[in-house]
Amino acid sequence: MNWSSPFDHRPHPELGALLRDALTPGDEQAFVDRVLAAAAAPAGSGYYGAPWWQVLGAWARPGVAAALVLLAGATIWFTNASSRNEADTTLEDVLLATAGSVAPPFLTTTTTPPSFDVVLASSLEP
Amino acid sequence: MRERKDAELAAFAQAGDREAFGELAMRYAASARRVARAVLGNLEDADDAAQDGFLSALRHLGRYDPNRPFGPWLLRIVANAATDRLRRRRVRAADAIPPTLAARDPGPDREADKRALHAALRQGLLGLPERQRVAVVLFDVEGYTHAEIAEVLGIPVGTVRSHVFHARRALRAALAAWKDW
Repeated sequence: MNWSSPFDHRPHPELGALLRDALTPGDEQAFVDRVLAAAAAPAGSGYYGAPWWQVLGAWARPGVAAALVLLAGATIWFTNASSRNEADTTLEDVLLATAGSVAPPFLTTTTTPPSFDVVLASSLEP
Repeated sequence: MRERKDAELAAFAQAGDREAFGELAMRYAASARRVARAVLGNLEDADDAAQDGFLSALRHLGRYDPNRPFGPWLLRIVANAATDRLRRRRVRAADAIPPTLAARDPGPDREADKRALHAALRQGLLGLPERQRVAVVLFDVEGYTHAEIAEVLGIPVGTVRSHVFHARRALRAALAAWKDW
């Protein structure tokens, strides 16, 4: 074999070929089949081929947690929406609801605006 | 059919595509087994370690950065698996060289000579520190750069250069009797 300097920064093709021959066991397909079989091992350590109940079981806890988060979010949203509806009550609604007790009848029973004199007179009345 | 990239295969494998993982395993089986054998010496142990490495890589595919080459990432896991196995158990005497074959004994059977050379090379390799073994195999056999090997071994690039240098020098001495090969 032609030995170049060990300092050579390039791969040594002859040494590489020798090492490759010496270290390569061959029959890669058999090895890959073995790895795939181990990956599908049914003992729970396998990555592939897990039965459906194990898959569902693995998803159960995250699924329940996700459902709880969604439920909590929906509850908060619904509560906020309800309180917002109360806050959205307009002045007109309040006036109409209390019209019978605080407003003179002529202000709520007619559809046309009262004249200025009538309003002034009613405010001056004791 | 278009050859799929490693990163693409890794993504499919992570999503549960068994064939994608099989293709990745086929691409890197030889390299992984060689690296594991360089660490462990013994073929059976090496295949067990390589398998451990592939399964570990499969479980941790989510940690693989698809913008980086897949080979060094995988081989680092395989090398670690082999090192773990080496630590857990004493390696059985691996491929001891029969005394009659330890020295060059020219004969008509070139195939026997070749086997003896391989055995001497493996023996010489086993005489090296573990990281030197992996470094020289990754550099001279697998063709990885010093930087990639540094990533595999988790050591500085300069240390990789040093490992390759010392490994070559030791192998050269171990194969002195085979200079005419």
